[in-house]
Amino acid sequence: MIDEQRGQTTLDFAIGASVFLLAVGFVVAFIPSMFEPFRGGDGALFIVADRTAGYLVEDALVYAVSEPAVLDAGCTIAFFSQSSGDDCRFEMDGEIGAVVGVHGSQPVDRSVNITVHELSAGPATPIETEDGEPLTGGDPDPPSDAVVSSRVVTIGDTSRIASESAEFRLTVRVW
Amino acid sequence: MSRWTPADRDRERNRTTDRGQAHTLEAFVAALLLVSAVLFALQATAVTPLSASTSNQHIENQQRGEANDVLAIAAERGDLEAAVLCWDESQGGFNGSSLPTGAYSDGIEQDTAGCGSFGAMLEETFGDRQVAYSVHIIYQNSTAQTKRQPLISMGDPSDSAVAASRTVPLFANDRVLAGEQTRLDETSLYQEDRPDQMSYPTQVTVEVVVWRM
Repeated sequence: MIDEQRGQTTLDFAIGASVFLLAVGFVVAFIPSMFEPFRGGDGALFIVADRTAGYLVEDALVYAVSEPAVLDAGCTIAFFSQSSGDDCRFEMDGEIGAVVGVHGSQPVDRSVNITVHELSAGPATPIETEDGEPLTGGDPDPPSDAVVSSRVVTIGDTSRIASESAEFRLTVRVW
Repeated sequence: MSRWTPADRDRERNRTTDRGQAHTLEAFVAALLLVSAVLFALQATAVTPLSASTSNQHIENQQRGEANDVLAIAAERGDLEAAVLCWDESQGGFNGSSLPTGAYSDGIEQDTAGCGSFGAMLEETFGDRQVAYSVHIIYQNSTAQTKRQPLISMGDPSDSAVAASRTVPLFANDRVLAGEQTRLDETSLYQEDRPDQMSYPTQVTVEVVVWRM
C-alpha cells in the first residue's frame, strides 16, 4: 500500500543517483587533466638529463674543471668514438650509456643519446670531426617525446672539428 | 489519534506525488555544485604556460646552465673582459651603444662594437630561440654601495627570469677600448665616487639575466 503511494520513488532514486554519480565520475576524471599541461612525464628523466649534461660539460669532457663548457677536443672525440683517450676524466668501459651512468646501475633501464650540434641547428644534424666521424653517441633513434637537456660548449682545438662556428650545443636526450 | 479516512489517503497520495521528482532535483543540484566547484577552481588558478611547474623549472635550470656556459666560454676567450672594458669615455657609454644608459639594445649591437663576440654568442644561444637577455656589470663604489651598469638591456625581465654571473678581474694597465692606449686607471670606468683611492686589481661581476619572451 505504501509502495503504491510512493509509486515513482525507486525510479526517481535511480535517475537521481546515476546523475549524481555521473557528475562525480566526470569531476574525478577531469581533475587530472587540469594538471596535464604542467606534467612533464617522468620527473626523474629531467634530473637524469640535467645531471648527464652537467657531468659532461663541467667534468668529463673539459680541459679543466675550473673552465666548464670548454671541451677538450681529444677527449670529446675519444668519448664519441667510445675509447678512453689520453688523460681524460672518464673511463670508457663498454659504451657511452654506462659511462654517464644511465645504463645499468638502476632499477629502470633508460636510454640516452648525446649529440653535439650547431647552435642554429637541431640535434638531428651532429657536427663531424675532421675524419668525418659525427659527434653523436649513445642509443640511436630517440623518440620525439624524449626529455632534452642542452648546454652550450666550445671545443678547444677547433681545427679537429669540421665546422665553421666556434660554439656548439651539446644535447642530451633521455627516454 | 484521528481515524484514517479516505480523504486522508487522498491527501497522502497527493503529497507523495508532489515529491515525485525530488531526488532527481537534488542530484542535479549536487552535480551542479560539483561541476561549478571545478569551474571555479579553473578560473581561480591562472592556468598559463608561465605558471610554476616541474617542466618550467626544468626550462629555467636549462637557461641558467646555458647562461653559465656562455659566460664561461666568453671568459676563457677574453671576450668577457673585452666587453666589460669596451667603454667610450667621451660618449659616457659603451662604444657604439644606442641606449641613453650607455647600454646596447641587443647582442648584435654589442658584436658590431668590435669588442669580442660575447654579444654574438648570447644572440645565437638565446636570441635566436626567442629568449630575451640582459647583461649588467656590478661593481662597488667607495662607500661599498653596489652599482649596476647595464651592458645589454632588453627590457624588464619576467617573473620566470633566471640569472647567472661571473667575476672578471681588472688590472690598472688593462686597455680600455681594445686597440687604444688608454689605461683603465686613467679613466673613471667602474670607479664612481672613488677618484683617487681606487686600488687595482679590482673586480666586477657580469650578470646575465635570461627570460622567455
